[in-house]
Amino acid sequence: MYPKPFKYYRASSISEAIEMLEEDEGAKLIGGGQSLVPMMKLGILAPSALVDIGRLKELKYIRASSDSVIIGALVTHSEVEESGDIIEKVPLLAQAASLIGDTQIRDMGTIGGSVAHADPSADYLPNLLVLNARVYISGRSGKREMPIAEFIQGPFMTGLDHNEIVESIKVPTYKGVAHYEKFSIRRQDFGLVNVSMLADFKISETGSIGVNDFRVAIGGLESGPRRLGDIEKAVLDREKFDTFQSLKDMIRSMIEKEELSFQDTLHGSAKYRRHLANVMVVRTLEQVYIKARGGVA
Amino acid sequence: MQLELSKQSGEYSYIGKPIERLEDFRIVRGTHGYTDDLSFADQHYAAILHSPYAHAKIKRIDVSKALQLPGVVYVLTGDEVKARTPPITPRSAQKAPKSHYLLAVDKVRYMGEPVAVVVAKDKYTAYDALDLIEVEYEPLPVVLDPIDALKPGSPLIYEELGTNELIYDKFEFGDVDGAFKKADVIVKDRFKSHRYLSGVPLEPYVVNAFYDKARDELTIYAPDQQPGRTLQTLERMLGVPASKIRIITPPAGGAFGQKLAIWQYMAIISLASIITGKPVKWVQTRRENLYGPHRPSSIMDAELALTKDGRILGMRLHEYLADGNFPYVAGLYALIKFGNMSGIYKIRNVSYEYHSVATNYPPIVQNSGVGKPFMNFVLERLIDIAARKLNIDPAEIRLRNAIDRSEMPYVTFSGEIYESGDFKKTLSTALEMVNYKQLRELQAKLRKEGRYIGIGIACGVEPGTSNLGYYSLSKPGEPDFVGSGQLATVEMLPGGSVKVFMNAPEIGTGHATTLAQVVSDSLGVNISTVQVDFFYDSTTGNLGYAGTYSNLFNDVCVGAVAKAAEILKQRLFKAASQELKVDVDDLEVKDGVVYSRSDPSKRISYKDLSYIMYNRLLKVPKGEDAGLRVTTSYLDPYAKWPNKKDFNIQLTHANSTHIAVVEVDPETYRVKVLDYVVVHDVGNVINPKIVEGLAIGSTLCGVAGAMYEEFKFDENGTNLSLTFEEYLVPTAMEAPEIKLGEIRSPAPNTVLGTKAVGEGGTITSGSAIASAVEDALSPFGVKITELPVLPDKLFNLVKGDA
Repeated sequence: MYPKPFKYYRASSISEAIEMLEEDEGAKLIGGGQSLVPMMKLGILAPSALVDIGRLKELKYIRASSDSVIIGALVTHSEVEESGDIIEKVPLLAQAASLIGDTQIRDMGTIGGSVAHADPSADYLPNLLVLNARVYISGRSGKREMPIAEFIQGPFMTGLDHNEIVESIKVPTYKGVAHYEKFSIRRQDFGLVNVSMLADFKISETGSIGVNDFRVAIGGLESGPRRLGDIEKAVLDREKFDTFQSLKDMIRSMIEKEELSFQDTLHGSAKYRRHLANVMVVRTLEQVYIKARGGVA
Repeated sequence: MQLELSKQSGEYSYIGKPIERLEDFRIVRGTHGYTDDLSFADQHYAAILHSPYAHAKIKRIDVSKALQLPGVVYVLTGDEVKARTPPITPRSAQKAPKSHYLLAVDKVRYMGEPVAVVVAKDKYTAYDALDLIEVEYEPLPVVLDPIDALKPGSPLIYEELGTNELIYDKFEFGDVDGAFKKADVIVKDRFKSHRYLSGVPLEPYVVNAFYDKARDELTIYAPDQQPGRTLQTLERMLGVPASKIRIITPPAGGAFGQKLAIWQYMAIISLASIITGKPVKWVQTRRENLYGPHRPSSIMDAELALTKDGRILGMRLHEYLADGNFPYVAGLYALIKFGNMSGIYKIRNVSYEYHSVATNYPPIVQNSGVGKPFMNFVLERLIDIAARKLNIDPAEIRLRNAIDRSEMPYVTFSGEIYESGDFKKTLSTALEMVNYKQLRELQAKLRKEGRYIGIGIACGVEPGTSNLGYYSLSKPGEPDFVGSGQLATVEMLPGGSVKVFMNAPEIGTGHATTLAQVVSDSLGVNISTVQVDFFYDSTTGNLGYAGTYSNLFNDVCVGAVAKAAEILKQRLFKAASQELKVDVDDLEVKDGVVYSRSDPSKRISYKDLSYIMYNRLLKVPKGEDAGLRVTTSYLDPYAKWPNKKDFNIQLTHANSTHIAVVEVDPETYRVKVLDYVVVHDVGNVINPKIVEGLAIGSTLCGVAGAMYEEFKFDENGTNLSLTFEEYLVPTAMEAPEIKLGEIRSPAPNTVLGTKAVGEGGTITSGSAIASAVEDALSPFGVKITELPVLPDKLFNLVKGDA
């Protein structure tokens, strides 16, 4: 459990960090180090240098406005979980943060690091997909932004260049309710299946459901997390369901037919995870429905 | 020897009281002095290169590049080891391979086998140098399944033996065929035990060895659970007389039996120090620790014969143990299991046939409870199957077969003496604690609502102290060790303070506190004057198997210390009698002051008596030694020489009933523990708080093995569980709340009436979880014949894909 030798630099600004990255092709950024350090200790990664941006105050902020919350890359999972602004404006993200790893990981790990690492089972990703989040990136030639769906290109693959830094994540507020479900063996583990769902339902006294908005994403797939666009479209197109049961039946039959590919893992076979995906999508829907009716999921 | 002490219960100041642990203040403040906290001057460090293959020939090892790295002092390989040390010989195996050394020679037999050792001036250089060692391997076919390994043409782990079967033996007690002929019902199945560690120590192996030429002494610091045995082993392996070896055992950061195999690394690191002349420290990484050793996997075909009213007539067992390789303790899990196989029940006709098989699994070790969790699992599973077949309630069938209190002491088929206990009361108390009748009604009601609740009952004995007969019973010749005893030293120093040296190294289980309570009450002093050494030191004296293992502490370690304290008190009284001119029988002690019962004005303190015994030597009573140091041994009075008809393997028998109430999610197949009750009977209790912690902790270790933990291997013998991300040690977030109930049947053969505690939970909990899950999923006809009950395994069982 000893990493290979590496150089260590501490950057005093974003531009200095970019310079340091440009000087060494094998360098990697380190923020909270909750994925990088274990991978180095296990010999999976052996960067020639670490550029530590952990003390850059310019990356540590939460700014709320009427239509969004902007979260600096160095904000920890605990801070996301506990932020009053996030709980008020985008509570789904606070819920997701609360389910990441264990307390130590949440206290050290950062949202920018998690997004840039792009683990296919990461808790944030399906939620950021459902929330239509945008990633703000700093590089040599200035700043740019990308929708999260474009930024995440596959397992551990992003649209980030070597000499670029994730600066912040912009999360738009939403109408309606949202819920995140994760199935992991132990509380601290990565999920075998993660499901995030957002819905703006108008529920009448007779129990019929008018659909103003409906979004769902699934994480843990072999190809990385993604939105379930066909299901979203079918639900939105129908606009109105006479009963919750009819909505549930439709989603159940569609998710069972959806093409979803999982990998075999030590504690969950691909076949089991595929089965779990059906169960988890329906259960997430049930929780969303409870919240939509004003209950606590 | 029954000491005076045990007759005074109720008058103790400390014994029986839940006093705070003396260890905790040190542990919490980081001053407990674990092995890695301690260093020699000019400390050097070792790193070990391990085999990436489970089976391969070593064609070539080239260490020249590693030696060129600045800071590297030496690289040890198998050739040097072979030139300097003998091969490792088995303790119990009938067939003894002669090609297994401390480091791999010519071939590797498991993934993780040590191949080379680098010694360097700092640990980072040592690890960097590992990458510079060139080893050319030629992979060989791998065999993991013990039944496959016995087939002709199987790859051989030890070519010189011509077979992988290290032990084959068969035992029969009573008339087993007769019992099966008379049976109304026979139930049988094939059960499997998985590879795991019941309790993974957070502190891995750590060894610091220094051969000091100035003193001509090899000093080794290591958290070794059996340093008495290691001392003799090191003399034989290294050719250094025991008189020149000093083993110091600092407190261990968890042990769970895994640290009974640290001796191999103590020998390797000692050799590195002898060759280099430098103090060498090696701190194992987590990955190295998870390479092994582990608890072995095994396969057991088991049959139970019963009458139609559920009375057990006989049992037939046939087991294949995948004992990995490194044959040192091969077969260990066999006879210790069989010796206690009838559990709390009256079963007189029992047969057992077993094969200890060498495979390409990593070595095995005496992990917590050794063969007894699987012993309990097979027996309790069979009884559940029989109960279902006979349509008898699982609690009722157990009550019908349990040994009655009136039959105590009860001698089992194998010669175990159950010294005391009320098994039926243990079970009925547990049934009351869960409201068993109402619980069954609730279960039926919830079943109609689509909820799958299961109730699992398991009863078990927790045998403690061992005569180690299970090592010798299948092997020809005289056993190298028989009996069960420990040595202890209790010393009063000038001024009256008391020092206790224990032969049972501190592994986190409260030994120092417990012994301080015993000594304080034995001598009649305030506990603040008693100092129990947290460090075991071999130079304070020990018997051959000094250590903390086999759940022996409450029997022979407490016994030896109590006896030493009693002798010390008698010596102090003799001096007081002479000084006060009072008959010894008229003396009493309170708070360290000895006084005459008939004339309390005649009094003298231990402090003043100590000055007489150390300083005023002409006042020492005639015929008495000066000084106040007492070293004595204590043997369990029930220990007998083991033989094939009368094992008498273990000497105290606590017992417990575990009831698990679980709910299985019928869609995700996740198992949730709704309620968990343990009622145990561990005899008298010295510190109730410590005992409660041990009972709950060991239960959680067992639940972990039943629900989460398993070392998984691919077909090439590659260990896939080398981090805590893959090896699923549950955390506080997963741990169910354990409710503990207690009854007390004092042991007549221990000085304070205490019995073993700390393994019972791990022995019995797996059976309770399995039983509960099977009960919950009974509408699907699911049978649980192996653990752990992870969701995807249950998914496959329900879907019929297992």
